[in-house]
Amino acid sequence: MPLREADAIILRSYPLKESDKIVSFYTREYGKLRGVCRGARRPKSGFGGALEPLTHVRMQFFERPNRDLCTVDRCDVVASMLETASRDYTISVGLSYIAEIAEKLLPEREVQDAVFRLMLVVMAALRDGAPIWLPLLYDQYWNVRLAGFLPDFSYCAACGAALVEMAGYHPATGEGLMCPDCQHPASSHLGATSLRLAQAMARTPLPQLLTSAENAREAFADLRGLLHERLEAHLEHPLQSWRLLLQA
Amino acid sequence: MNDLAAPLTELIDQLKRLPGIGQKSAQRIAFHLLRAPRESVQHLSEALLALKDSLRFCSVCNNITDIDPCRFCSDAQRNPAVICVVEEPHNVLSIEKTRQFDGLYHVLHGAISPLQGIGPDQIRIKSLIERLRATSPDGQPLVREVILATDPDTEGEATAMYIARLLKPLGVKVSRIAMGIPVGSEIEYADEVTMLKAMEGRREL
Repeated sequence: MPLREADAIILRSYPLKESDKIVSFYTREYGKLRGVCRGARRPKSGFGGALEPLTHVRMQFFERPNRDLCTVDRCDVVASMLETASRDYTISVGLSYIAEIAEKLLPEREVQDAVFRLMLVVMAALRDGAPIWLPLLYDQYWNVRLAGFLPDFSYCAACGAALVEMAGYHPATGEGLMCPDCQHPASSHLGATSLRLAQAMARTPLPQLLTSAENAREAFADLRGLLHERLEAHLEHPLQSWRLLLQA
Repeated sequence: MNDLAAPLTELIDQLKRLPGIGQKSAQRIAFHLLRAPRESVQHLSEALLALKDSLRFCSVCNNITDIDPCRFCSDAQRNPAVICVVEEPHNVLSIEKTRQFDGLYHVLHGAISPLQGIGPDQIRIKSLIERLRATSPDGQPLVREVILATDPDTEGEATAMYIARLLKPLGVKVSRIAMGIPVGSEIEYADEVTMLKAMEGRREL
């Protein structure tokens, strides 16, 4: 029963018994885990605000053989998102969406350092005061890409022609993007600016994108929708916070 | 469990369904009730039935009550110009224990939780807005201040921000309860987030 120490991001927590919490967290060293935090709901608990979603913590925990849940012994906050979430209701819902993607998409105990770094980059941008929309899109894009089901944004999936002005995709079929000549009659469309952004996101870091691309709710809504559909199609069940994000 | 008499097994099974009660606790309670005088068991069963039969939600504040409006809403001594918004009925008790607050309450019965798919429509925010739109006979708004006393976590903060955004156009003063270091604890053990909130909420002496 060794004591482990890891860099972790809190994804979600649930109440357990009178005063405990079960917390789902993503560690850099051991992947996604779940653990029990004893007494975490008491006012004088040492965990304090460390168990709020998307808090970056330095965590100590024990794992026992044949047990799914580890026991979290200590959590020291490295960076909290509570202050950022308190800025605006829309940001708060957007952060929940980011946490939900990670919670549902990442397999247990699978280490993916790129996902961990992605979350840190997105959270840093939001802490620096960026509106939620572009960092959220960046998070969606890279989650879909790292999970391996990102469509090709450069060439038509049917004829191989370069996608320039507009592309079509059919959410139900799950096929790739197609040029106007090849697409299905009932296709949804991705505009030229969204296509260009999707192509740019593959090679441009988020801080640089924030200086060059529009960061508003209306901008790139088609791309956001496409990536969300890909996520839900892969997960095979809805992401709860998406509906609230659209209404926020 | 088959070694026990059927009524005892049934009682243990029913008790086990209550929150925080496991097999051992259920067994202990069941045997305690078995040994208790008949009248006290009868009082308990009557109290349980009365709970379901006579309690309802207050039509004004949504608190749990046996009279409508509840004793807070119908108390003429309380200040109707201040409403304290809480997540759950038991939060009212925590605030009443202070004996410092003499305004009215509004119980939301939950908090906005995007991760659980609970949005503003699933909690009782609409009835709060209706209360705030009420005016006195001379056209003045009845409510002047709303205190948002939701939990100091992500969900409570999201709920508070959403309500504050809705209330802004109504011209009502909106305040949030202070957050920080619990009385009796030590600064040394406070985490970064709690300490930050405590510094933000400092007051002039």
